Amino acid sequence: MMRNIFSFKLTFVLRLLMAVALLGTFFPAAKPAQAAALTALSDTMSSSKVNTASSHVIRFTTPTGASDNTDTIIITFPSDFDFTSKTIGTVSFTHGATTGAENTETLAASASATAWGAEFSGTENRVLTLTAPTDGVGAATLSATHKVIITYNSTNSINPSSANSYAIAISGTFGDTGSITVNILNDDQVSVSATVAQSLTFSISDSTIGFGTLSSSAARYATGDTAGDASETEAHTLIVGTNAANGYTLTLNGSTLTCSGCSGATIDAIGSSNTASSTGTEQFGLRMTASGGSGAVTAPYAAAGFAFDTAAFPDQVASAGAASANTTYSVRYLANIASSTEAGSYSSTLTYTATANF
Amino acid sequence: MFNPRGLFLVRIAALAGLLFSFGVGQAVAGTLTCTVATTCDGGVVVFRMSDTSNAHAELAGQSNYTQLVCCSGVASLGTSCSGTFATVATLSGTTNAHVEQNSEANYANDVCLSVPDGGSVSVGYQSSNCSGFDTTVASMSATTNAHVGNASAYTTKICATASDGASQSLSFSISDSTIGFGALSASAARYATGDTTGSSTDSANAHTLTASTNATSGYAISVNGTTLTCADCSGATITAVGGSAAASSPGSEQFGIRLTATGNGTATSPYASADWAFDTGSFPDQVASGAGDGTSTTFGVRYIANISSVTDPGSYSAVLTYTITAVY
Repeated sequence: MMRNIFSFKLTFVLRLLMAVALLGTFFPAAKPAQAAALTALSDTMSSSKVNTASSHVIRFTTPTGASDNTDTIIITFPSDFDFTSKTIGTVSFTHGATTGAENTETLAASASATAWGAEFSGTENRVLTLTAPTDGVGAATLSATHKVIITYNSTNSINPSSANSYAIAISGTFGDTGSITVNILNDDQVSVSATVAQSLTFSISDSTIGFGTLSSSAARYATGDTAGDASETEAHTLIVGTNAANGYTLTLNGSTLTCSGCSGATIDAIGSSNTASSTGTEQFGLRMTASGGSGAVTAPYAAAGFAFDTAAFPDQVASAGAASANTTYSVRYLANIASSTEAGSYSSTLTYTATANF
Repeated sequence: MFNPRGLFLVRIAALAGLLFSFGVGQAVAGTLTCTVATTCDGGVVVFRMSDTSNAHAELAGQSNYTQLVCCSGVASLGTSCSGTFATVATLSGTTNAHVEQNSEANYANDVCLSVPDGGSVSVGYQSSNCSGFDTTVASMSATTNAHVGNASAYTTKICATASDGASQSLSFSISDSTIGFGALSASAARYATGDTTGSSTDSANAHTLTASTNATSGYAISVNGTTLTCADCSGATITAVGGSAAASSPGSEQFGIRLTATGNGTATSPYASADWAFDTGSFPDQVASGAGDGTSTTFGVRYIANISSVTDPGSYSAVLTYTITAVY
């Protein structure tokens, strides 16, 4: 009896071991679940505005990695993100140990030895399923602790129609999971306005100048104190500047020195040619120099001699071809007389006009 | 009579069951759980089946079938097909129906799982198991024109994952979407204001940005856009200050911003000083950040514009986009 019981127990143990072995054959131990929480998850969007196209740069770190050829990574956007008509050509997938950009994976309709499978599915393509390469590697093994970057460009990537918080889910057979909450706003933009007015700056430093007493034996030059000078000197300045795109022109109008008390006798204007001082010969003329800005004196008033082209009045004396900061024009006046020049008081009124060309 | 052979068979069966339960582990993303049973205490009925296998389906509101596809485990879980939802399957009719997967378009009666706004829910179809999802909702015989059954009836599983998103929070707002400088001057700086008329003094924010999150690594706010540009003067611009904070310089073109913070968040260099910056070369450029402490920070944003005597006359504008990114 005892022998029979012992035999039974031994047989039972052997059969049990066989059963375990058989069970192991028919029910192979499944891959142990290595689910873990993804870390460092974020979604950087180009726009948070409702109903607006936005790119998504989805980043996360996977504690487990995805190195089995059966692994999938699934990105699920909630309603009502709209990715209708979006194609895998507008998605990129990189991963790596440091930045996540080290290895770029090829995405294809189906997984292969060199490509991850990528497929949009679900309502408005909110689900993206990435399937590991058939060799489990692709460009590089997606190892544990790798940083992953999945980028959707903004093509066919439309934000929801309501302002709210939305959670994007990350799951898949690779085992790790996580979610990313993003904000959608009615308006994520600030519009800024400003105006710049048209501007023309024009000033004359002195409105009264004089030569003093003219001489047929020496030239006289006008001065601001009206006493005149025997040497060339600045009588006054003109300052002109503008923001007009086409600059400005400065013109002169008026008459030569005229004696009202001697029947309108005049001192001859020099004319249109820049001419040197000629003592003993009637001459009235001016010349100018320029400094600052981009303005320039116009011939015949720009050279070392003098001119006064009454026939062309109003005559351009200076200009700038484009917007110019202030240019200061120094104006010099010359008067020579002959021995026969009528005696009397002579005067002249000159009008300067600046015209901006907007 | 004691039958040792019989006892042996019972013990094998028990061992097999034990091995099977340990062998099939699956990753669980959340706590969503679905079953097919005749009762649904504490859960929501997604749809009904005529049997546990080889079954027709009907909508949850019908009452012809006794096998209930019941889901639970997520706060405020629902079966709405609007808001934050996923379509579990589509039925050919309200009852006595065949089913198809949500990517098909032959049927009209959707059955869905929904969660509160801010949560997430996803549905997928996999062969043999629902690894990667929270639970198996049911199984189906084909992609369309299919019969249904419980989780083990067919190879094609209907899988689902859901969460109510309550654990993550992110809040961001902009106080004013339209600001302006008024008329700029070459002799004095102008500062933008919310009423768009501008000011000659740097005394008030043009607008604010308010942010908070409980994300593990906090948040960052970025700006993108262009400097002031004149659309009606051939695209003339007012020169951006650039990546180095600079003081106001009337008579020289400048467009820039600076930020101040009230709360635990901080403005980011070069926008954090008393001077001005606008680093278009780095756009989108971070202007502020904060920790995931859940407290709100209000960032005051100020804008400066200076022009020169030769700045093109006209109307200038710029559109700046502010975005927030949280890192969980």
